[in-house]
Amino acid sequence: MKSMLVIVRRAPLLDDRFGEALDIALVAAAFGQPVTLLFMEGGIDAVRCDHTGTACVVKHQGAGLDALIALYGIQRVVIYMQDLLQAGYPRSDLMAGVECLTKAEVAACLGGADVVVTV
Amino acid sequence: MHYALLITGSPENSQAPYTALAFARALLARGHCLEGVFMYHDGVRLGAREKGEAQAVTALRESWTALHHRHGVSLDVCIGAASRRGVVDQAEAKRQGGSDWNLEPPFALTGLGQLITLYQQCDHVVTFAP
Repeated sequence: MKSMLVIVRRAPLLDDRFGEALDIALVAAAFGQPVTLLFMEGGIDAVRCDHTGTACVVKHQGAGLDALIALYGIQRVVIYMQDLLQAGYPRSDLMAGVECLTKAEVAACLGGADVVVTV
Repeated sequence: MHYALLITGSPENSQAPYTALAFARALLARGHCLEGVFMYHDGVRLGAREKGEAQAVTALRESWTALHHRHGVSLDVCIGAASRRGVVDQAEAKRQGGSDWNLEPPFALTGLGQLITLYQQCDHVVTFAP
């Protein structure tokens, strides 16, 4: 079973790219593939919580992103720390379970995946 | 080597499906196996026949069709991305209660599971994006 890294670079409400990248990750996970989701650039907007700090802001097909990740069994959710800093979001805004990666760690993530997908 | 191609750019707005065709021909000429071509995002427009489309787009679709007939390469179109863009085949149009369709064989609507299967089966899946 090949491991898959799906990179989400578009903000959720910008166009279809966010949802269509996420769909690949969810279907791959449903097929039992080990999936890592990497949010970069505008995509980091997707892993922020609302003002209460608990509920995920972004919904996809009617469900919160955090619920989908748990439901489909996506193994790992990571973001590129530099993009988080650039956007000015504090780490406390992130939904639970999201790892912040340095540039070197992102490179290792890319190198370690059998399949890298971006839409 | 076993290859598959993922096309995410439309023929009207990107070079992606044109470059993918040249790549596919080169692969087959060198004796590699092309397991399938999967169209996703705006790439689904490659399979759709539109009124008043540019001749280059029609010619491109015919070239892909010829590649299918000559080498048996499957031309899969993601059904979710297609329906979001008004791309339907006869069966899907009928299911939706419509009478018009714009996707015809050998282009075939399929699910994302087909793409995941290609990733599993092939040595390389090459993406052609805008």
